[in-house]
Amino acid sequence: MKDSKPPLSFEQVVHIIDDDEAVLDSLSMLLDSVDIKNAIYPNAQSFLTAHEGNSIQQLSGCIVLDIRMPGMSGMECQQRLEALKCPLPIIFITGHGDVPMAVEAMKKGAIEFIQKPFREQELLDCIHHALTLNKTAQKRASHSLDVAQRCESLTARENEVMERVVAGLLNKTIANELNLSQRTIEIHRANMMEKMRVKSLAELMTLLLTKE
Amino acid sequence: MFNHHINHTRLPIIYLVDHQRKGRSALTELLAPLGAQIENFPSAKRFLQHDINAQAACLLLEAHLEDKKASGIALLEQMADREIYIPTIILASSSDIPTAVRAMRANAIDFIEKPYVEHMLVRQVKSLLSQTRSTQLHTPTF
Repeated sequence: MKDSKPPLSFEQVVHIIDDDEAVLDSLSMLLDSVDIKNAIYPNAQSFLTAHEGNSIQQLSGCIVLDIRMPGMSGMECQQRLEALKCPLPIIFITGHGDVPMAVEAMKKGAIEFIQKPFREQELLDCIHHALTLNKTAQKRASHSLDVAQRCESLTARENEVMERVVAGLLNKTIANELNLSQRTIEIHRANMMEKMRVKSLAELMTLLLTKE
Repeated sequence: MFNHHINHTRLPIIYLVDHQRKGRSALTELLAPLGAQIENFPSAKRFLQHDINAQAACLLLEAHLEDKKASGIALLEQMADREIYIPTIILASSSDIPTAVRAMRANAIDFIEKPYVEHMLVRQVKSLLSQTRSTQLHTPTF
């Protein structure tokens, strides 16, 4: 039987982590009102526990994170998430932040640092921005993965040929370098192009350049 | 035959942009021992009119030029629009979270509230200078 459900990871969810129950409720209602899926957590630890293991890397959406919480602080949580390679953009919200704290959070890759009280629209704009960033990053990641998989399907020989083709060498030169006949190089080259699913050298170059 | 206009010494460049002369001269004095070429500008306009060297090691930029709120950050955003990326440290005579966040989003590498701690700033600029030197060593000259 076929599994008709789309992979869960493509559904974007806004994860809200705050120790203030009133904030959780009001943000959750706000997001519900504009049909954005959301999940709430009373502290950082409960978010980490809920997504233990590798699943944290498969998440899609963004995180709204309070800075000051009992137990693990928002900044500590950001560090943990970075170590776990969590791909979700982080928006910090804080009632007691200062400039050095904001700078530190931004240096570590937070995309926004908002002071409470904030206007609802301000937060919604940030969330939309974060979700867009996340989607773009996912597309890029899946493209890189796709290219990497094509590269991996090459034999060692085809790989050697590809490196030299990309470096601009002619078949004749490659044949000399690898001590093979020109005809053999032509065959390796054709196989390589087919496995990389490209029709021209230009296409191959573009593909490899967009790998990262 | 040979182009004699090439800068053979290739001292790394530090740009300072601050409307306050006292601020610029204090920084110049502080950073002089690092052996870079320090260039001063009193305003964003003067800086943009200058033929900006995109290979400069760093830019030290006042957040509120001519006391106009966040005008220094606006300069940084204009540079990003023109695709000029120079490692920039914002020095802020006054600061608030939204300005700091805006600066960091405009690719500033740091946002420091004045008065800055001298030895920490020197250390930061020093590390930027050594990064420039090592990339220059590996950059082929055409």
